Amino acid sequence: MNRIYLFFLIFISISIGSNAQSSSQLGFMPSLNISTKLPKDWALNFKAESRQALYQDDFKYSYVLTDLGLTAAKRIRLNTTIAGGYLMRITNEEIKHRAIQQISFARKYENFRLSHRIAMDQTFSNLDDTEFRFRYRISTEIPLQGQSLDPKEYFLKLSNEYLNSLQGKEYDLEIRSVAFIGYAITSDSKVEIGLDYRVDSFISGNTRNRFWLGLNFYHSIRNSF
Amino acid sequence: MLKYLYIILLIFITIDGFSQFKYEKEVRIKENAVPANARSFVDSMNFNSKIKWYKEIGKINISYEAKTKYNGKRFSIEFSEDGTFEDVEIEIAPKDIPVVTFRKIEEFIKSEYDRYSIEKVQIQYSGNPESVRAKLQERVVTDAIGIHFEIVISTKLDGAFRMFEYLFSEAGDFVRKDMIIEKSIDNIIY
Repeated sequence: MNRIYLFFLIFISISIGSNAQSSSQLGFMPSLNISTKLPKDWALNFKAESRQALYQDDFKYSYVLTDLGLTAAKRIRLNTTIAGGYLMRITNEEIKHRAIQQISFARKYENFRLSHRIAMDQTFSNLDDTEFRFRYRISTEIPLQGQSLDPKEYFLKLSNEYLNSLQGKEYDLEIRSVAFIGYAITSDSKVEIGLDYRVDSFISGNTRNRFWLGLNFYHSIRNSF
Repeated sequence: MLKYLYIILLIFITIDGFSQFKYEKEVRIKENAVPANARSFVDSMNFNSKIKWYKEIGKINISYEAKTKYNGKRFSIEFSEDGTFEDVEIEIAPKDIPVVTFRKIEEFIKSEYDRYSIEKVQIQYSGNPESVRAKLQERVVTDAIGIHFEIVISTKLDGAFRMFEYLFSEAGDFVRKDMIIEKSIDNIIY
């Protein structure tokens, strides 16, 4: 376990130290994920996520947004799943609408699982130009007590994502790094807590760092289809 | 807004189905937590790679498993709760199965599924531990040892991908088949 604490310490130190003159945001980001299997390898995933800022150049609480999303997924090969969905983003100013398309490749190795996700999304807003994003994420889930994750066991989840964004004529690149400690409550329920670090706007020279303390809950409803 | 949330949540309210695993829990353990006779069997094999020990806790029994790599192949040696040797499984390629046996195995699986992919093949040795050790060390084997082939396949059943673990005898006769229940990986997909 000591290696994990060390990893977190290095992760936070690098993130904070890398951009001394940029703006920073710190907050809390809980999420709820419920998915259900449907016949013929279809699945539905419902996600609710909220962001509450605790620091934005000053310690002060503020509501940021709530996301409600529904995704339909179809497994097209043993390790490949395609999905499309809709996400509603509720902010203080307006409600944004996002269309999502993704393909993911997940594979079990001897001691961990690895997934690659390639996704596109389009965010429609009344106040801003439509934002088009093309993103790639690599994630791994490493069981900490055996070769595969069983109920009542801990795991480590690490991921890294690159998001290319085009809005109006402006291009931006956002990079996300995630380090979570998780616990498998049952074979179908998991809870994770950790840090989600996001950096963007560094191309324009006005780097924005965001640190979210994430608390995720996943439940998969397993049907006998 | 709440009305829509209720509708979405209602879609997800369905009946939880079955699940079936070979064991309930598998944990990595230190070598000194393993029965002495199991340790001495593994030590006598003189494996040159690191040995990883696991304890598998099932619904009715407990077993121990040593995993290692030897001559580029993955070895898995299973022992009962008191350290009695049960079997050795070695990951092999389909081409390592004798041609006649493999043809018989393929014919059996094809009689069940038109299309399938082989995901993993293991050869399993069981019986007298001394004889199994002799076999693995390529020495003369005096007693008969049990040889089986464990084959994991993926196929499509009613439009959905499924994985099955088959066990065949040395001659390629069907012994057993279990469906592999896959674990949820939503947290690295969505």
